[in-house]
Amino acid sequence: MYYLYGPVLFIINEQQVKDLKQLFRWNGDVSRMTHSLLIGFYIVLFLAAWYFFSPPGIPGPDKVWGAWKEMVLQYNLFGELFSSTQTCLVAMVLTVIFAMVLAYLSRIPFFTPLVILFTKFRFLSLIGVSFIFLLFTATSYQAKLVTMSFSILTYLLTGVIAVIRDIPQRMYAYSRTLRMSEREVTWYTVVRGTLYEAVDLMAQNFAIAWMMLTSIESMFREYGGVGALLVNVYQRKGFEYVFAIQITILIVGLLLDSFLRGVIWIAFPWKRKPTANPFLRWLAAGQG
Amino acid sequence: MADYRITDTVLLDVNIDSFEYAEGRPVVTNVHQQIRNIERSGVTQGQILAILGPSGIGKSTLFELIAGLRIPEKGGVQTYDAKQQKLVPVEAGMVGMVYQTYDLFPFLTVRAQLELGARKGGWKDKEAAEKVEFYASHFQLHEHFRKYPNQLSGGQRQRLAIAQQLLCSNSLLLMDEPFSGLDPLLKQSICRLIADVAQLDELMTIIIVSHDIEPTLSIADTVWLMGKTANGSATVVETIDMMKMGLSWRPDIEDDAQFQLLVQDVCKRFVGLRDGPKPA
Repeated sequence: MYYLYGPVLFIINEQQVKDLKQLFRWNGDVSRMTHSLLIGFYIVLFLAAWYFFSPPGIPGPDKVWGAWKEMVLQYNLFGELFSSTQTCLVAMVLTVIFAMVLAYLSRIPFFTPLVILFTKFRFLSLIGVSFIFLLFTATSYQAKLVTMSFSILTYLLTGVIAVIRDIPQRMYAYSRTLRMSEREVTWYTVVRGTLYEAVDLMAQNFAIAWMMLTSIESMFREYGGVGALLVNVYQRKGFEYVFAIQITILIVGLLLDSFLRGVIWIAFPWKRKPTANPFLRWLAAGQG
Repeated sequence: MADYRITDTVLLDVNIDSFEYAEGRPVVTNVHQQIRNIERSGVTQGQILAILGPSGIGKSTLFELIAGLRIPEKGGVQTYDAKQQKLVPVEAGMVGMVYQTYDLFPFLTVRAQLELGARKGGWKDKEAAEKVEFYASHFQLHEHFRKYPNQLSGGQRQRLAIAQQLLCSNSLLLMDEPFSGLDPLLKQSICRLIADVAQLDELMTIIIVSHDIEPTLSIADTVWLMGKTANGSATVVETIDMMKMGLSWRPDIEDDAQFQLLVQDVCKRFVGLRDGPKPA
């Protein structure tokens, strides 16, 4: 089917005509292709609105593009991004390890109240916590890393404890029917049994971690990082520089999120769903 | 009627006076039953015991007591140890248990699940490999060796869960509600699987805990009917000897009029079993 709208020729098949009708219905069901086209449509719409109808004070895309090039060439934007990404990933690895150790310790009644108390620290102020860690760390990098890990840890730990609490009693009974000691029951049912959920929770909380990092970096500016750069350009340069960094942070955040999803896909083959992605299929075949 | 003989060898001795979760509220009382070895000429024949009763009556508690996952305050459960050739008190792990959810560790491949079962069953190196090989062939799991449980069909999961428990236990397999939520075709397929497992070994004893009357009766050779006592606890109120009635080991049993009468009779009695004896 061919449709001509002004200067644009749309080639639409029957499925897409059906999809178009579904687009505006409650609980409508559209194909993957139409969904992707819709995303593309919104991106183009957003860019056009930004270019043609920016309110006064908001820099247009051309200005932001110019600022971005300057940030890359003169302000070492990629270097700062690398430093932030590195800090974020190190903090996340530390957080997963500590969260899991603490969550598993919660299975021993003696430690349960301590671990539960630790999760309540998520109500503490981030800035207040950073002051305390500054007292106990040698460098501001360490303070940044510890503040970051501590803050994410309180959230992640709450999630992992909930996952462990939700393990059905029959899974413990099942482990015992395999003649396992209580230590083995914990290893197979609690540790290995919830490892995927813990890492997946971390990946889900990655956005919070990434957002938190820029805030923490703005508090410990001497060590650099993209958060520190953001505050510096806001104070000394125009708004277009802030926009350039924000868009970069968003894109890098999305890429890191996809990277984490890929790592999880490779590391936990038993959770894989059948995929049409030829690269993932090739990877799966390679893993056996 | 099939030619069979009940020997003196006691394979399961349940001798529970009382079990309670909270003090003063017994859940299971006065269950004193035995399962003996059955011999059939020309057939390797294990035993299939069915524990039948309405939902919520305490079947699962009795199931866990027999499995050694709970210990009664008074009395105990003993199972036959083929190596020592005598009855020994049951402990968790001696009895294979298969829940209706056919639990498996999701992160282990089919091969790893079987190897874990063999290792925990006390088999070492070559023996363990031979055992894994035997059960993988018998339950047609070879071609799925590299798959994870969530990549298996329902039937493959059932076979794997049963094979793993058989590798680990002393020829005693408890199955909790194996027919729950299945359509009639799948029920038939499970019945065939259970009958097949029962013929793996002379001393193999399968205990099915169920409220699904027809498929359970169709494969059982002994039935314990569970009901409530006057004090609200559960007990075995009657034993039905399916062998004596000529209703055991018959693939076409569901077409038998006597069998259908028995099904109807047990069905009618379920309300009484659930509510217990009426006060005088």
